Amino acid sequence: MKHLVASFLIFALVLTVCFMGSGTIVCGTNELTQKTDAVIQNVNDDNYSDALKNLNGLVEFWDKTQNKFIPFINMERVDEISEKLNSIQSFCNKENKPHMLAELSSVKFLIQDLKEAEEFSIFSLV
Amino acid sequence: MIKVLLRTLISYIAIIVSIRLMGKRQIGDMQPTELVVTLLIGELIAISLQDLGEPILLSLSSIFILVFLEVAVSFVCSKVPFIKRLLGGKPIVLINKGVIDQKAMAEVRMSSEDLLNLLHSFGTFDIEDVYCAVLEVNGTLSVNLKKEAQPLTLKAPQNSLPLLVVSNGKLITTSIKYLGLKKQDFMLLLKNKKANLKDIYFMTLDSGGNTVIINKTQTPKKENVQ
Repeated sequence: MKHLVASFLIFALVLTVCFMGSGTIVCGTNELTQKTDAVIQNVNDDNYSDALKNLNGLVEFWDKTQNKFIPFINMERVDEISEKLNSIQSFCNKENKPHMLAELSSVKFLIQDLKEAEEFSIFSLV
Repeated sequence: MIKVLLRTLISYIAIIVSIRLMGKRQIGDMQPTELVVTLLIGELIAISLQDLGEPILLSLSSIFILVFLEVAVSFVCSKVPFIKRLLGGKPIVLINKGVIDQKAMAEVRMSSEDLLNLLHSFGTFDIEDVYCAVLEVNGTLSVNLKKEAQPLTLKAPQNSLPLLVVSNGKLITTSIKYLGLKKQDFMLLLKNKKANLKDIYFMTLDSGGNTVIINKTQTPKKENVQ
């Protein structure tokens, strides 16, 4: 009986951590998507000064958020997004619109992929 | 490198905790579900040790969910015999009263060579010496030798293997049927022994009427009705 109680307590702890982790990822990715959309809009409008400002905000937010994501997602996925954001900053400085939009779309896709992996659906289960 | 060290240490502690929670058993004594969970724990730990990019928390979560399910299932099995039979299977009599049950052999997909090999490992080389052989749930063979093949000369008549008839206050009707008894006969036997079904934790009975009764929170007492 005591084994059952002990394993149940650990199970409850694991469930709590899983739900917390899932919530952190969903909230974080929602905000990241909004920030990415803002940068995409700026680039579409050829407003590179605002794009750079919003991009810096996005990178800053990502730097803070990724530490919360690391315990729950594969490190390679975190590195992939960081790498893409770095290249976007370079493209923004050179006002390279096509490359910037392409990389921003990739970042948005990667962020949404993180969110979709956490959200519960029959398709994500299989 | 420190990351590898720490991850290995955490994995080791997780394995120790999970094995302790599941209870100590050797591979041969494991129920099918326990064996599967043990193998899965090994696989999950291997993933987090090999792929340093994969969060160890995911492996640990999976391990402890499996451990909880295993402990919960074994708890339910101890309370509900039907679930135990459903998940763990039931012992199968391969040799009954000296005769090989070919239907049972086919059911467990065992050839006569396999049976002989198992009997050899038990120290029996002549199948004629075997009165009863039971393939247990964990895959081991239990053998009851004929009276004349047993090392000591017994004055008692040849009895069947003692069967578990009561487990944790619950009557196992299949065992009673196997012994050729009716429920009323068995209840009468209990009455003669001044035992109450609800109070019995463990009771075995053989065809000779020999019983071992362990009441709940009591040491065993051995009796012979003959």
